[in-house]
Formats: sequence, structure tokens, C-alpha cells
Amino acid sequence: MTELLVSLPALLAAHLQLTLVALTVSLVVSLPLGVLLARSPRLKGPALATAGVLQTIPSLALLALMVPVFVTVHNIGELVGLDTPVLGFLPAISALSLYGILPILRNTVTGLLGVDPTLTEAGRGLGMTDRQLLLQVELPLAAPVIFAGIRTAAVWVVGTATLATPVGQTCLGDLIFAGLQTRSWDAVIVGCIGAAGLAVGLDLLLGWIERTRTGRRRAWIAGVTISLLTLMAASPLVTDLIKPKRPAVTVGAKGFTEQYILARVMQQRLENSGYDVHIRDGLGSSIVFDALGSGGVDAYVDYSGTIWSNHMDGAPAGRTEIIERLERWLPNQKSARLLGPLGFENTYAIAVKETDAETHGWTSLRDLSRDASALTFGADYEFFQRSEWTAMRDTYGIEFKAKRNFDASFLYDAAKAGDVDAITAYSTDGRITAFNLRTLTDPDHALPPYDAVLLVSETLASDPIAMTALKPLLQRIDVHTMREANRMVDQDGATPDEAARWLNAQVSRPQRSNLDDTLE
Amino acid sequence: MWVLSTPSQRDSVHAVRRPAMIELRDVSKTWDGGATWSVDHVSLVVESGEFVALVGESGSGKTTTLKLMNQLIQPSSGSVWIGGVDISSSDPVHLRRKMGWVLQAIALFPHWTVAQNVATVPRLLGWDETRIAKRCDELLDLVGLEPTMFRNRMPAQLSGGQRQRVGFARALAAEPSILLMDEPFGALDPVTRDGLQRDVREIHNSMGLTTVMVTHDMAEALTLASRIAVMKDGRIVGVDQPDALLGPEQDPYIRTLIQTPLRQAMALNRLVRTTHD
Repeated sequence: MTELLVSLPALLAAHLQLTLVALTVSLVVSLPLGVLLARSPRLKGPALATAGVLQTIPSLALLALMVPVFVTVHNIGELVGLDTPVLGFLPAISALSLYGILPILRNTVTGLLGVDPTLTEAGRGLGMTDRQLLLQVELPLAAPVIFAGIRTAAVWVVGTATLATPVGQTCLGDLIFAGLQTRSWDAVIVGCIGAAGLAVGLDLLLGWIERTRTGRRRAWIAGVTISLLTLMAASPLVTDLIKPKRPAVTVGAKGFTEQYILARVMQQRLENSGYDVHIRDGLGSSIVFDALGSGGVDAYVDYSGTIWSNHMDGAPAGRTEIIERLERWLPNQKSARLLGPLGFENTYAIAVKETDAETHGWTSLRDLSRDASALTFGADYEFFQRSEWTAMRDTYGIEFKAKRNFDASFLYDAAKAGDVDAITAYSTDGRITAFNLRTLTDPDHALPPYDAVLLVSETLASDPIAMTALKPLLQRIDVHTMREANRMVDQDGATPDEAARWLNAQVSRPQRSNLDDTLE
Repeated sequence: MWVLSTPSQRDSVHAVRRPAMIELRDVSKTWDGGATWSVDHVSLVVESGEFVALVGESGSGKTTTLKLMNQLIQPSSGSVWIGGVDISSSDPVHLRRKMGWVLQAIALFPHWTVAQNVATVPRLLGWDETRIAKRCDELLDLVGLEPTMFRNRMPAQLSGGQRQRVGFARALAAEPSILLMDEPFGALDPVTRDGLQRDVREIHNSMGLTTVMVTHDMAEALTLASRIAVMKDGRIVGVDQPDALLGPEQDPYIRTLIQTPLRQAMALNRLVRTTHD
């Protein structure tokens, strides 16, 4: 808990920066646009409808969509020698700003159109120019409505900013996402309270500014405060853009326990070799792949089957063949390389309760397919979008009665509690044994192999010191070791850092003779 | 000399006289491409120092005519001349700052104090702060509001009559030579109205203003104006001094209109006498 509270100020600051910059951008876009729209009824409808549609895009999706956009920007920038970041601040700011636009825009238009027309006519009749009328009469009178829009936007943006973690931006969401995955509820609660506190605080501050805006001196102070906050908040963006190359190494991790641990295993090894390591936790699966070698991520662990089925042909093939083809394919796709397998597989496996398996005599997927029409199946968010699902369904002719999506960390609880009859499980997850679950065999090889493979950017691959630090990991982590490390975090409440230290100690020990899960 | 002149007559007359303060030359205004005309071939000359009332029923085009004078509305045809200059060639913003403008809705800016409202035009003209403050107090005095008591009040803290007094002060702040008023007393109760009317007539005289006032109140027009223009369906059907409009040779519509307050006064008179008997 103390560790959590120590990390809180930095996360709060990052979250506040993110929010303020996004709000400023929203404001800079919305105010002039709102003035324009209030003057032109023909543009008003379509423009507000567009902003409304933006608002209906789920925030997580909008954030994720910004990554491919910035990968494209990065690729174009590279042609003229620019190294723009593809993860973190820029995509997060872009999505959050879009989110903040609608409430401010709509309230600006409503506020301006709500100004009594006799007042604007009086102003015009007294000899005000359009600009004077706007600045001296219309905007001041519309200000309460506009301010209400800004306050709405502020609260929305603070909340939505917690979802910036998967695109690699440090924020209070780091606590929430990591807490959900590693089952540290105190981290989730601290993250939520932090975000709620920030939202309430910001709302109060804006309310205070609104009430004092008539007093000229206090309005001036408020203006200076806002400019300073914005300047402070914008500084990371500026330094991010000015700095041509980061001397540090960025290690990526997807959003589950094993990934958090492996990222820290790499971090500890690289830091021991003198690198400044930055971890980007909880990245979306396709986001981290896109970011690799584009300046966003220098190293991360992926699984052969994931890339095989998402980016390559996905046809059934042997473990070794897939890795070899990946090794040849990757450098042609991006400026990155496959360093090698870590030694364990984390496959999708279908798991059922041991007791159910006994009762119905289920040992393989073929057995399960017989009874599937009466069963409810739970899977993580991506499973039904993946080729594994279609392969499994078509190979065994499985049709479930119902299919449900769960966050990966709740799947096992759902199976244990009997909410679902079968789940997608990861073969390295410590809860398979802890919760008395049985993984079913896959006699027809419908599910591809998922060897953990270390992927690195071309830049990092050509750095001999970094390679000396990372290469000892290859072929040295077996499935039991990984499962034990995962169990330490998921069941015993160890931090990913502690599990990573333990895992590094295992790797450094003299090679065991009976690694039972190495590649044949 | 007051009567409308044909264009040819007018041109010859203007060759030797100094230009009229306000002149509408055959002005028309349509909002629907000519299907209906809010103002229909109106010509009117207002000389310097005159107090002209535009009267007529609702929808007769009197407010449109007034707004043509400060270019809040652009004519569809014809031309408007102020001080001998065709205003279509001049900047409407500068034109309006030289004309006072008073509305029935009063329309004080609610987010400004009384002083700030009065200072609207001087500030637009870039006067310095001390001159503005001095002028502000002069005007509040002029319209009968004690400056120390009123200058820092907000419009919401004033009565209707006080508000319109501030409205007049605002219109007169930059020493305009022309004062345009659109039913300035329409929203006031009779007692307040009576006092303010007398003050306005006095200010008109003392400041040497040329005033045009739109009203549908005939009694008001008859007592304040030096000349009355009667409008009907977008046209001026008669323009003359108040007493002349009461004459038997006038159009029957004008007579009916003008005699309304007279009939009301006689009815009131009978009532008073009956109660006293």
C-alpha cells in the first residue's frame, strides 16, 4: 500500500498534464469553431452531428485507433528525418481532445445562440463591429453556458484518460489496469479514488474561475494560473518532440500478469547493464506489435501463434516451422527482429472444471463437442475475433449454447463459480491448478502453438551490450517456472517486480538438465 | 416646404440649400424578393434640429424605416443620405457611433454596470478613462440619475424607468447629432413615461439634436414631435406638423388615427365630470 501511495503523486501529475493539455486543445478547437457555427446555421447541423458521432465511439476504441494513425505519421516523418513517437502522449492527447470537443462546441453554439437578439442589435446599433460585439457582448453573456460545457468536458476527459494506459501513456489507469490483471484491488481502488478526486478538484477549480471571472484582477490571476498549468502540462510534449533520439530503452507489455513480469525481467537485466528503461504496461495486443520498431517499443514478448494467426497466413503448421517463418517474415515487415523463443508456450487451452470433466468424461475438445450445445463458453475479449476460434469450431464442430466475453482475469473465477462451463485459459496460468481446472487436449491441432518469443527493434538488436543482457533469456524459461512466477503474483500477492527478480534468479542458475518444455 | 417633393423639384431646391440632416430618397425594402414590401417607395427629409415622429399601426413599416437610417437594414432600392452623404458608401460602424440609438427593449448590457453601459460608445471611440468617467457623470445628471448612487449599479438593480434613463444616457454619451428612438417609452408605466418624455424633449432642445422617434402612441407623437409622418402598409401617407394633421383636408385614415387620443381624452373628461357631480 505504501508503495502505491508513493507512486500516486507522479501518476496524478501525469494524469493532470494529460487532462489539461487535452482540454486546452479541445478549447482551442471548439471555441472558434463554435463561434463560426453559431453564425452559420447551414454548417451547424452537420458539424454538431459529426462531433456527436465522435462521442459515440467507445473511448477505448478511439484511443486505440490513434496508434495506427501515429504509426503512419511516424513513417511519413521518417522520410524527412523526424522521429515522432507512436505511443503515449500524442495518441492519448489526440483521442482525449476529440472527446472534449463536443461538450464545449455544443455549449458554445447554444450559449451564443441564446444571447438575447435585442442585445446584439443594441450593440450593433451603437456602433460595435462584429468582433467587438462578439468579445464584449456575446461571449461574456454566453460564458456561463460555455463554462458548463468546459466543466462537463473536464470531468469526461479525466475519466476517459484512465483508459490511456493501453496506448502507452502513463496515467492513473496504470494502477487500475495493472491492479485488475494482478488482482491487487487496493491498486484499483487507489487509481479510481485518484481519478475521482482529480475530476472533483478540477471541477471545483473551474467553478471558482467561473464565479470570479467578473472581477478583473481575479480573472487575470485565473488566466495566469491556467496558462502556467498548461505550460507545465505541455512541457513533456515539447521535450518529447525536441529530443531527437531517446537514449533509453522502452519495454512493452500487454495487459496480463505474465507480460508485466517478463517486461520487468528485461528491465532488470537492461538496467544492470546501464540502460535507462521505461516500461509501457498494459498495451493492446495489436498496439504493441504496431509500436515495435516504430519508436514506441524497443522490446517485448509476443507469442508465435498470435502473430501467425493475426498477421500471417495462420494455416496449421509445426512449432519450429512457425518460428522459422516468423524470423524471416518480421524484418521484411518492420524494422524489428525475432531474437528467439524463451522456452515456454502459453497456448490457448480450453479449460473445464475437474469435477465436470470426471462426470462427463471430457479429456479432449472432441469429447467436449458432444455436449457443447448445452454448455456456456466464456472467452477473453479477443478470442471470438481470432482464427483460433473458427479453427476450433470448424475442426471439432463445436456449437456452444451461449458465448460470453470476460476480462481475462475474471475468466477463471467464472469457471470456478460455474457461471460458464468452459473457458479459454492460458497454459501458463497458475490458477489452472489452483482452481482445480482441467485443460482439454487438442488432438487435431486446431489451436496453433504459442511459443513465447522475444521481439526487439532493429536498433536494439544492433546494440551488443543490450543483446548480451537479453540473450541469456532465450530457451531458459520453462512452462513450470513461468506458471510459478504468475502464481506468485496472482495468488500470493507478490508484485510483478518481485516475481521478475525471482524469475531472473532462476534464469541465472546453472541450466537444469530436465527442461521438459523446450523445443523438440 | 415640409411636403414631399418630386425628385426634380428636390434637386433644384438642394442646389442652393445646405443638405438635410437625414434624407430618404425613394427607399424600398423587401425581404421576400419583391412579393411584399415592408417599406414601399418612401421619401422623407428631416432637417437639422427637427423632432420627427414616425407613427402608424403595427407592421406599417415605421421601425424598418428607422433602421434604414442607421444601416441596421439595407434598402432594396433607393438611397439614404445623412448630412448630405449617401450612406451606402460610408462605413456603417462609424455612422452608428455618431447616432444615438434607443430601443423599446432598452437592452442594457446585463453584465456591465450603469457606468460601463453609458460608456459603451465613448469606449468604442477610444476616449481616455478620465474623459469617459467625467462624461458618464454628466450624462447621469442629465437624465436625472444621481451618479454616486447609480454609476456602479447593475441593470438588474434598476426600475424600468431608471433603466430607460440609462438607455438615453448611453445613446447620448458620445455627443451624437442624431438621436434615433424605437418606441422608447413603450415599456414604461404612464407616470414614469410622462416625466421621461419631458426630459427627452428638453435634452433634444438643449443638445441641438435631430431626433426621429418611432411610436404607435398618437398622444406621445402629438406632444413631443415637431413633425409627424404617418405610415400605412409601408408607405408614408402623410407628413406634417401636429396641428396641421388635425385639419379637415387630411386623409380620413390620418384623421381617425390622430383623433384616437382626442376621443380618449373626451371620454376621460366626461368620466371625471360625472364623478365630481
